[in-house]
Amino acid sequence: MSHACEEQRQLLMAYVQEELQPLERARLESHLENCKRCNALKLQITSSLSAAKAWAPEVDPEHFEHLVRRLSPYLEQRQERSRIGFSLLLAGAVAAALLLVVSIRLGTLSPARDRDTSSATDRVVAAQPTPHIRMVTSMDWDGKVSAIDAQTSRITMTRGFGWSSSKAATAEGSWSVLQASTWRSSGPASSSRSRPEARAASWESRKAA
Amino acid sequence: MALIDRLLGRPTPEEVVREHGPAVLRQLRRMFGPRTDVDDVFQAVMVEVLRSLPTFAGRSQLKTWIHRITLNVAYQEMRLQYRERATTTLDEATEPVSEENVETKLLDQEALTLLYEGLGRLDPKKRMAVLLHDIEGLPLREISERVGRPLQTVNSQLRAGRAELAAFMAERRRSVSEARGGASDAQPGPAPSNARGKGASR
Repeated sequence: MSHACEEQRQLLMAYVQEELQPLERARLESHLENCKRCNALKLQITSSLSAAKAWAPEVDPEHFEHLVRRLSPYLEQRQERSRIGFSLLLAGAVAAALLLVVSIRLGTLSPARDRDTSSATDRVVAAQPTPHIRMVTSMDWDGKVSAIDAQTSRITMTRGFGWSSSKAATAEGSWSVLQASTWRSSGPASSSRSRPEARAASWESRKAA
Repeated sequence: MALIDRLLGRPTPEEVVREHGPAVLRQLRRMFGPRTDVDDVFQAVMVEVLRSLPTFAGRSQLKTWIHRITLNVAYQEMRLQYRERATTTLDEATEPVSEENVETKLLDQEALTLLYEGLGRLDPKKRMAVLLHDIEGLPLREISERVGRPLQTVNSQLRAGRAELAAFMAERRRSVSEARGGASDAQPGPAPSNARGKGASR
């Protein structure tokens, strides 16, 4: 095979695919007119590509079913994983719903009934005697509780979640206050005090002690 | 679980297999040729599809996404075959041919077999470029996107693949002619005037 044949042969597929530039095509066609061997190869390539393009393999339904059956372990495995995912999702949803219900329930115990009358801040909210905190001076809607430490006489702040946090603080045992009424015993009207008043009451309490 | 898929409007895994499986199977047969068993490759593609299905974000069509996975898995298989030189040979079983148009079918079959035999000898990257462009008819830009290689690289691989394929076919023709004892097409000479490809019609 001549060097010219080898060179032109490399372009035969592009020629058959009609992708050659005009100059290249003219040169190749000129070569093909004088070279039986390259011409035969061109026919072979044309025939092969045409056969491949026209070839539409058929899928035998029975054979396909066989292939699907081979995949069944993977299909079941995927379903099992999905089932676990679904269970976790369900558990999460139930937990979220429970949390929501509890929050709403606690919300009804919080000073919600007082929302339309006055602010909940700067209010004396608890009255159980404890060793460390002299008095609770305020609790706001964010659940921030201010209290006066019995030993340092400083105002300490806690952050929490609504009424539950002040309740938790109560459970830890920290309230030490005068005769101030609480939300529960006397309601918002009688328990309402501004912070300076509460602090003054606290000092009075210490002096009395 | 099928229920979640239904709630989210997604096809279930089995629906995906049944809806897209036949197309994948046809695609693989066209990639590997009529004489290669593609059942294992099909299984590998579908397992990969099922494994990745939860991560399918829907940014492209499911069909395109599955086609891309098919190409990736087929490419890996071609690399294995290329490395092991496990290309199919002419001695292997052929698809059954019906009695009608036997001659035509045999000629087509022969042409097809020769082409796929040549493709099987190409480096997988070149093979993929020739397959997708010259047989599947995909534009180079699309091939570049689907296989994740630069356009220029795909173009070079296509040119090299075509040249090697043509060389293989020429060599095969030469050896067949020699085996038949005649080399009527081996001598240079004037070609018949009607022996022109599609390109000549322009």
